[in-house]
Amino acid sequence: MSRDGGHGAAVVHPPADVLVVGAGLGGALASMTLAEAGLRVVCLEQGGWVRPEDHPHASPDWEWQRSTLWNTAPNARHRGEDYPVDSRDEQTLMWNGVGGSTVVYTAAWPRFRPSDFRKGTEHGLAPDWPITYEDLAPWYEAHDRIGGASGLLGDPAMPPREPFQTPPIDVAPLSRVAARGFERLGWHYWPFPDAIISQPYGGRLPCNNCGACQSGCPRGSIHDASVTVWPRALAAGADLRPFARVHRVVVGDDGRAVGALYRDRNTGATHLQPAGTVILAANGVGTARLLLLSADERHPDGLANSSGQVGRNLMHHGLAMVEAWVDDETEIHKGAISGALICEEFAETDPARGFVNGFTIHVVRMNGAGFQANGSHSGNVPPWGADHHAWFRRHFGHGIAFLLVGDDLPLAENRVTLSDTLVDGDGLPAPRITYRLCDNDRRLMDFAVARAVELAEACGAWEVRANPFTDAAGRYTPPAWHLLGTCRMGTDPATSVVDPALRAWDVPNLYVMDGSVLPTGAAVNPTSTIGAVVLRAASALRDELTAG
Amino acid sequence: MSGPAPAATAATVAAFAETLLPGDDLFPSATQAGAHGLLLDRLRWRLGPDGIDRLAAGLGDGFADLAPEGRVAAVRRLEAADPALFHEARSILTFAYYASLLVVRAIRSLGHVYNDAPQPLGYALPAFRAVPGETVPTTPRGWYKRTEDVSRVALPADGAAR
Repeated sequence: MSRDGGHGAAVVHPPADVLVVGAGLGGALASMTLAEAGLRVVCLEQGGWVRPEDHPHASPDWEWQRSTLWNTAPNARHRGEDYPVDSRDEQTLMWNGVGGSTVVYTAAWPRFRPSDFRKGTEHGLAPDWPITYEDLAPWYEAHDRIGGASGLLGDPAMPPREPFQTPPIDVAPLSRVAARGFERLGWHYWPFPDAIISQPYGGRLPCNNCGACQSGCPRGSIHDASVTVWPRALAAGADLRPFARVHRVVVGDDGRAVGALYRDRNTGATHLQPAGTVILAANGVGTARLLLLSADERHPDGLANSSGQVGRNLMHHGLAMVEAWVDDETEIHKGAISGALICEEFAETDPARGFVNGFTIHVVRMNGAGFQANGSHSGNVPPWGADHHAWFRRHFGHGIAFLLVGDDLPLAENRVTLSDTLVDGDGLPAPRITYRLCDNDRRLMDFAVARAVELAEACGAWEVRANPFTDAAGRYTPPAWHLLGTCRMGTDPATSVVDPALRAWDVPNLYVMDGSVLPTGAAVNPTSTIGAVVLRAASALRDELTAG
Repeated sequence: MSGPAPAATAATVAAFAETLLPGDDLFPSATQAGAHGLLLDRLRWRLGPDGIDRLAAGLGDGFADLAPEGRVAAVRRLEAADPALFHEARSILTFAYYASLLVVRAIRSLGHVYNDAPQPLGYALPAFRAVPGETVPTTPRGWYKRTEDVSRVALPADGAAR
């Protein structure tokens, strides 16, 4: 290491072949793929590791911790590694640390459908992907083998696939009650695919149905990149540096990325990590923010942003919850949160419905007694006072919950910019997020909520509550689990940020490998697709860097 | 020292907890479960040291000395006047209450298998079996549009306007 006056008092490290920014799923898969090929990989991560004993699952106050220090929203969590998110339009969810948001997700594992890659052809209100489902299919399989997926073959609503690594995770009465409703309506349903193993796989323990997936998994049953990917990357020699907050990507006079400046959050020292290739994998908010933070005289609108598309086209999915209560015992506090059933009856576009795109219905769980007595997902808050316990007796253990996931259109005005009011712990501008549902997507979600209410009634519900995630003023303010589209891939440099290889059009040795490259978001959870996209691109980059 | 005496504030908080979550023949009350102590601590953590004073002030002087119906009326006034504070306090109290060992035992008494915490035991559920009508459809359902079959659809009548 040396000092470089050209970058202030930065400690300058020996150059790496590849520098990866962000140790979440995308960064982990890229680091593993490249390190296992013998490349010198450095990965910078602003957060730290989560050890199994750090999770709150063994503590009686686990639900309180889930709403505070383990909240999936950084604005509610306020950990030192987090940065604030400036938004009145949503509650952005992410985890900043090794493993990224796979540390605190439900590992719902459906795949995108073939038509999701062809929305430009289908209706033209979103672009076609530059690749097809068939291009990605082998990488879906490769990703599943790494993380371990559970599910059942034979779903007529999806293309054929290779066997799951384990059978579907255990079922509870919840699935039977939901199946009764689906059967009465004649709708599609199928056991939910999850990246949660139901049997030992890869030396990891299977799920024991504890019902607290959203605070992570201390058993290692969930495909958390810190558990399933990083050990391989580290064994291959990847140099992972936690507590390293990247401030900007540095670009040389030749227009190529030189490396990144970062601050060691433990010592306060500034470092420069040079590299031949730079990969950004800081999620659909963080990567766009970093490119905007990397603006300089030659790139006044941000790096890799000659198209003006960096930060735009943000997609979260249209989301709503419908909860119902039935006479049956559903044991809804037991089992994987997203481990019951999925309905893809409405996943394809049917213009007769009055909108394009589709949605899926997920039969999900309600966490523990504290969460349920605080209104659960739908805001059905029990009375306080003398009637409270009677309400609890009647409702607890009898709930059924439907998460509705709609395919939101990518809109240029839904975007990540830089806040002019909030900064992170290093004084860097926070991301500012503007997001709304367009008319098409509102119609889609209204239709979805109506179908879920219909389903609840078919299940035999005696009480139904819908939560369309609108505030008191009627504004849609969803929990933004999925951060997609802000550096989308495409074949035209004028309308996309990266090419089909995920290489920035403007900076030939800069790549983006996270959810921000997805041109559309489909109507399902995106993590299996993000991993497949990254594995495909990282493998091609590996071949390029190791050739000759 | 200014403001109400700590003992009076403590009595107000305890009475507030009792009003929101009284006991019955099975469930302990909030103070019997010890939840009011956590309410004090966590309200300070969430709202700062003045949070508990805001709650006490919102409930009014002499809240702890009121008859039950008077307490209910005072809480309803707080709920209407400062819903954010009320929501915060109720949420904290509810999480604290349902984490109590005594409340967990009450839940078990209702016949539910409910652990002190999710781990290490987890829950035993039957292993998956494909049972038509219960875990898989009785008849095959569902379809997808193949890549080669994707073609232009007619947009909805009003143009699927964004």
